Amino acid sequence: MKNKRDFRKKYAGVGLAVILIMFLVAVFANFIAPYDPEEINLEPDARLQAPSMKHLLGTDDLGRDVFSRMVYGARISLSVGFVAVFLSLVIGVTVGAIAGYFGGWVDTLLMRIVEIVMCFPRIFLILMLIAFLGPNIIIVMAVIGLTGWTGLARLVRAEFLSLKERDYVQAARALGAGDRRIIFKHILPNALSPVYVSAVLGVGGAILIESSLSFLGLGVQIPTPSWGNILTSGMHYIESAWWLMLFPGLAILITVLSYNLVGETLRDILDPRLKGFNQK
Amino acid sequence: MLEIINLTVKFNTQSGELKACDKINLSIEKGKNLGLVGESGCGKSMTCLSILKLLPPEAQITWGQVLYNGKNLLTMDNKGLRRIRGNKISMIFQEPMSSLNPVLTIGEQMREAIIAHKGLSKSEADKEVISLLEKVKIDKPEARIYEYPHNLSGGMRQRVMIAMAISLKPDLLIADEPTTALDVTTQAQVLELLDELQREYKMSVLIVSHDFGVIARLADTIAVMYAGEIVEYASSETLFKHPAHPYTKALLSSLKQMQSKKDSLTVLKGNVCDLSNLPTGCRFEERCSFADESCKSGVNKLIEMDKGHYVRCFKCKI
Repeated sequence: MKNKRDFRKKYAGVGLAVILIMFLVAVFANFIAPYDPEEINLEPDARLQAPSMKHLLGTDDLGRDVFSRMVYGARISLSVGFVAVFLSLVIGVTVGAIAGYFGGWVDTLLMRIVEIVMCFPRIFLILMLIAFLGPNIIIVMAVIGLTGWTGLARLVRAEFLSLKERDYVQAARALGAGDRRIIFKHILPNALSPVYVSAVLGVGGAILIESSLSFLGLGVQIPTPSWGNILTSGMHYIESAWWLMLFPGLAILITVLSYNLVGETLRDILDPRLKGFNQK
Repeated sequence: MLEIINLTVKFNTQSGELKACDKINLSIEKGKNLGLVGESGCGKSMTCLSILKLLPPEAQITWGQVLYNGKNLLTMDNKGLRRIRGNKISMIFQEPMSSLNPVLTIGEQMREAIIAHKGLSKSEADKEVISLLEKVKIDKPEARIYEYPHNLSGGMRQRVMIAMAISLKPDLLIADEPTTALDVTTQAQVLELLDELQREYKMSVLIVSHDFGVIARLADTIAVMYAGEIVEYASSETLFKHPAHPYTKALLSSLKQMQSKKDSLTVLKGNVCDLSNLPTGCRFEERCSFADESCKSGVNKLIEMDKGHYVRCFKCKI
């Protein structure tokens, strides 16, 4: 079914466009947002206004412009996603590389640690850590990052296990290359394609987790806007002010979907062996 | 310059311990070439890898010394070894197809060793890379340095490997079956190239092969290995004219017949004995046409038959 693949590729293009637009919105939030996202206006007329030309996505219960909050929320949500994934990447790749390359007791020790971390359902682990450390944006980033590296570590370890036996690694060693040079210059670049895929999918996942946490009130704290907490604040008005929940919900949906589409297409491109799976 | 004394390498396998190299003694003088012949699994590659301590983790050097200018490489720390590897002793491998890193350009990988050992700048190193590629007769080297290994043919990759290996003017080049994966015409060219470079750089080459034709091209002295042991050791002239060990004779006779266009080939019957369960006495006894009961026991020592001609055979008495 060739058509299905082409179809998916087209969607991946759309996904990439969405990611790019969201990224630009986040970067230029202060130019795009028409109002201060934290400016409260408690006059009865200003609260809970339906979407109009003046307030594109309406206003919330405190009279704040929802569009401006969404734009600034994009900045927060995306940066949580990126920072958390970056943190996971650094830890996951390092642990996986060390375990796979050196093997032996180092490998055993690191992999047991990975398994222990993996034993806990991620969301509960995150909730527990945040309950301990207190919710703020830095901690949210750190906690999402610190709980997300285990899959990556295993992925990278597996790549290293097979790549370290390659002839060119042996050849590099015969020419006097040390462990560090072999790991970073000869093996790592060859091990990166699954890492890219996992990173892209990871950003989507991290945004979703941040939204869930903010929705539960354990993530980014109001008045700082994030898609998750805009959603929460709209919860009580769902019958009268639908726009309060619809737009942040859509933003999360579309963004996460875009990352997943791009990630999966990237996997198809980087790993031709998996092509068969999509043709079913 | 390089002396291997009583090198013994053991492998821990699931079916038990086996000896890949059993008390190997070899010496290589400066500017001279040593050939190492033997069939698959007789310990040739293990001997080579032990010199640079590149053995796989399940192999262990249980005994012996590898002396390079008097220093034992086997007891040297990693830092010291890295200074020797590539710089003083370098190595080329059997599979040129997989011995180059697919994600680095030719220039990048060749530059690496030069920069690391000599401390040159990138552009200086590039100049050196280009002149090395010219030396190994790769055309348009200025363009080749930006290409990836998959752009090159097998012969060209092996040339690149050779260029990399000689880039630091080593004293010794270990060539582990350098032409096995190449077709016959390319083989001849690569051997010729090795021969030229050896003369120009005044280095020694340890050439390993299962092919006497390849060895004959380069080696000054030849060691024949069988089942982890050296069974015959002589200058190449003596070995080709007066082979003494039945195994060497059998190998050479299969070679000669190809040239005399006879209908049938002499076949050496049987297989190499099980390395984890070695027979007492002579290890070649089962396949040897000269063997009798007396070959089945006793200590089979390497004896000096003539000056510089050593044989490990009960039947070759002086």
